[in-house]
Amino acid sequence: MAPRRLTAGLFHELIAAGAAYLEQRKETVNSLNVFPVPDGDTGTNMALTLAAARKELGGAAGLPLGEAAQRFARGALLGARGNSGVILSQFLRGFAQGLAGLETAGPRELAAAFASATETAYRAVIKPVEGTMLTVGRGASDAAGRAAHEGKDLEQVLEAALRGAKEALARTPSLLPVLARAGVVDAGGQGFVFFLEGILAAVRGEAPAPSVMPEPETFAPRLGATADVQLHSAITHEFVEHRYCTEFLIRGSNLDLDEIQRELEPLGDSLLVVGDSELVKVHVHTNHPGRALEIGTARGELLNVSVANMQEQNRVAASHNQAESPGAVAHVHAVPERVRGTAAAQEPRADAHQYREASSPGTAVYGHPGADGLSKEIGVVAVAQGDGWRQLLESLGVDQVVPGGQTMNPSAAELVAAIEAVDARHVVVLPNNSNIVFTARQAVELTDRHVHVVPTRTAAAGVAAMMAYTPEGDPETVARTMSEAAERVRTAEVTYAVRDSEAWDTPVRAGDCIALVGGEVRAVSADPETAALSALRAMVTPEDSLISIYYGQDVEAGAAEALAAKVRAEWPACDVEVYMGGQPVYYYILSVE
Amino acid sequence: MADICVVTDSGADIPKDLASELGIRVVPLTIHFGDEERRDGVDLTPEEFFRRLRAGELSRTTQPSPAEFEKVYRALAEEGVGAIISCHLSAELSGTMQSATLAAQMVDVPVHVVDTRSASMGIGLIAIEAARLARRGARVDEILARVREIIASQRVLFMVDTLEYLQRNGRIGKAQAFLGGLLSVKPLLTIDNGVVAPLERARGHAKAVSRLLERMAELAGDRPQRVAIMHGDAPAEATALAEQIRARIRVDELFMAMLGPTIGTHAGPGTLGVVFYPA
Repeated sequence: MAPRRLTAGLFHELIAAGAAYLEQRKETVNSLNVFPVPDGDTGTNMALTLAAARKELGGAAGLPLGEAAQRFARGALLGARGNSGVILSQFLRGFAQGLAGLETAGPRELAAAFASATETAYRAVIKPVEGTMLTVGRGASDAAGRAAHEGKDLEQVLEAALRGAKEALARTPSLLPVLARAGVVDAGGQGFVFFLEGILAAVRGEAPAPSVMPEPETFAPRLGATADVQLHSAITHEFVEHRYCTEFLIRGSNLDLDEIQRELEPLGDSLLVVGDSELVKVHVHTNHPGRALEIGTARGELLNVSVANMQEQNRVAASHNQAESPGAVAHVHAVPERVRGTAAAQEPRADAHQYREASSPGTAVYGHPGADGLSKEIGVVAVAQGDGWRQLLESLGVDQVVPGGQTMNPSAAELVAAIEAVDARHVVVLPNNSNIVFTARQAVELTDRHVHVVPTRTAAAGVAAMMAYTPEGDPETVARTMSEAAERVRTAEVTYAVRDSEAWDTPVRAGDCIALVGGEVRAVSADPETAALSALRAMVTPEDSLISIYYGQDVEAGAAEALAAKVRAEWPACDVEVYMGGQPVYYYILSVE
Repeated sequence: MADICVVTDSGADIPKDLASELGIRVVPLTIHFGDEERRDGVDLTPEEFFRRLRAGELSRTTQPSPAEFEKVYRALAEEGVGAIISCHLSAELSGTMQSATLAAQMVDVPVHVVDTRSASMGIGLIAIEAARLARRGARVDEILARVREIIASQRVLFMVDTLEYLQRNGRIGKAQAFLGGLLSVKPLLTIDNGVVAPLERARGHAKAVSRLLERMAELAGDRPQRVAIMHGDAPAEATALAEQIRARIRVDELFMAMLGPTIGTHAGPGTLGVVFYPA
């Protein structure tokens, strides 16, 4: 018996089924990650994001549908992990916006929510890249829209959405060459399809039909070493439709979040209204920051008002990127982010915050938090895995170390908790991993503290950033100097390949040790020490004076010392320092400066 | 005897020969090793001071009393000096300014007491330029205008072997995060509006020197600079730094100064620094 309308109760049930199905298939999604590094975590991150969203939703019984969807979306935003989780959370945010104010939804309203989801997700990305989860989401919403227009019922609309999503997924390799070269479909898109498959099966009251996609074992992954570079260069910091990132808190009584949201919606995009009846956090990208503030003052008093000119930030960001000289060290490419897999091809709009964090001529902060009881001006949160790293970073002045790294991306909520545990008005966040940078930027929107993300890609870069850290002074300047300091060191990671690949001069077999320099494979060897030496040969220049070796949990201190002896013999002009990092996955993290 | 005379304190670290050549009077601070009291540059040489510091002795400093300043000012007045320009350690770092200001009110000769907002050759360069201008017959107001200009434009960059000395004597501000650390780091510091302020940390001496040079080159730009290099009994490092500076920026004039006991007490042995302003 097919349901005629979507209620909050049914929504709850469908979401649970979709999430459960994705959870079951997450390893399949993980295996699609386009990189031979053991970080296949797209599926895990999407599943964890949905789990956090479900937790926030709780029992939906008795709620209007619009509110249930809103809660679910907020949970996704708080729990978003990794790039894929962030993008998924944007879809869910748009979906909830589409259902806002509704008690229940029929086929047309459902299709409209799909359309809103796609629109929001696309808008969240400065320059959307096709062949990713975005394409798959649009395939779903387009097909759902057509079905609703033809007068189809709820189940048929969902069926159409799934069909549209699958067709779009099948097209992803033809849209994105990196996928074709690897012989895979987009991982995030596949996760999205699984989610819809689980939902449709629940509507029909049956077990999900197995995915039509080939199993990963039958793929022959091939990979272009520079694929991620190409991907990233496709992302430019161009036009910003809504210029001012406007954020403030409203303090009052009986505040109505939905009403505030509805009034703000016409002003721009990337709207975020969270909080409760007494304190509401607003974030909106708009060309009319004044009107946004008026909406706030009409309801209560404003706190922590900040208006940042994103166009200016992007201009600065672009010139910043240009200023990096790719020729200085031939093998360290000038791309500031290592971009990989699915969601990585898409930078969330939050990325526009990037240089608000690091340097922001456009930022004006009014209304300093005064009687906030915070004693320091600036504090630091860093993400790191391994006891050694935690001790090193704490000894350099990091206030909170959040456990996490390549195989375990912390959620935005975990970062927010750490940020708010720091006794400082401004908090610098060092993600120390390219997959955590986006999550860190998500966290910016979820706390009242002023958060500055210094986008470090390795823990060694985090150490370099801490060299420039001072707990006093202008926070923007401190964050910028920390970014600059992080860029002055080159880092490498030695790990093992999780799958065969032929993209480099030497074929890589699963289990080989590989050294990544600036995110690219630079050396392949049977043992970690040889790979480390090869990487250093590609990195060290005559100007360098210090080589640091941080060894991981799978390396004996003796092996690290033996490596250091070889390094000292080969580069007698450099100081060589060895530290126990204790990180998993990476045998060695190396830095040269 | 020039009509205008420049007075400073032993925190200026002006090389002795240069001070007497330019007729700059140096009022000593008192250095204490436990109960033992010595006067900086009078009965305690930098060499003896650093030898004792390296041997593990601890020193303290006390500002000259107003009476000591009064004695110097009065003597100068008796020698026929018409005006005194008295350049001193930042009031944020020492009570010397206080004593000098009180003394200035106790004498008939006009004394212009200048808070240089700096230390060591940050005071020294100002006193040297003031004395040279006085020699050339400049008026008091002209000299004071130039002094204000230098105070506004000069920069100090220095690194210490350890923050222990600055910390022990309470001269480090609140930069506690700079302390400790499992990595071997060298702090790079500045004097900003009269107080010691941390800039960054560098991993090892070579990195610290190269960061100091980079920052200096950035600040100096293309304009020729008047430069002083200061060292806490580290002459070889200071000479090497001088060469690197000459290779990197346009140098109008370069002075080399060893820290005396006053500054040495607070910065410690092994300190290396530079002060500069557009000539």
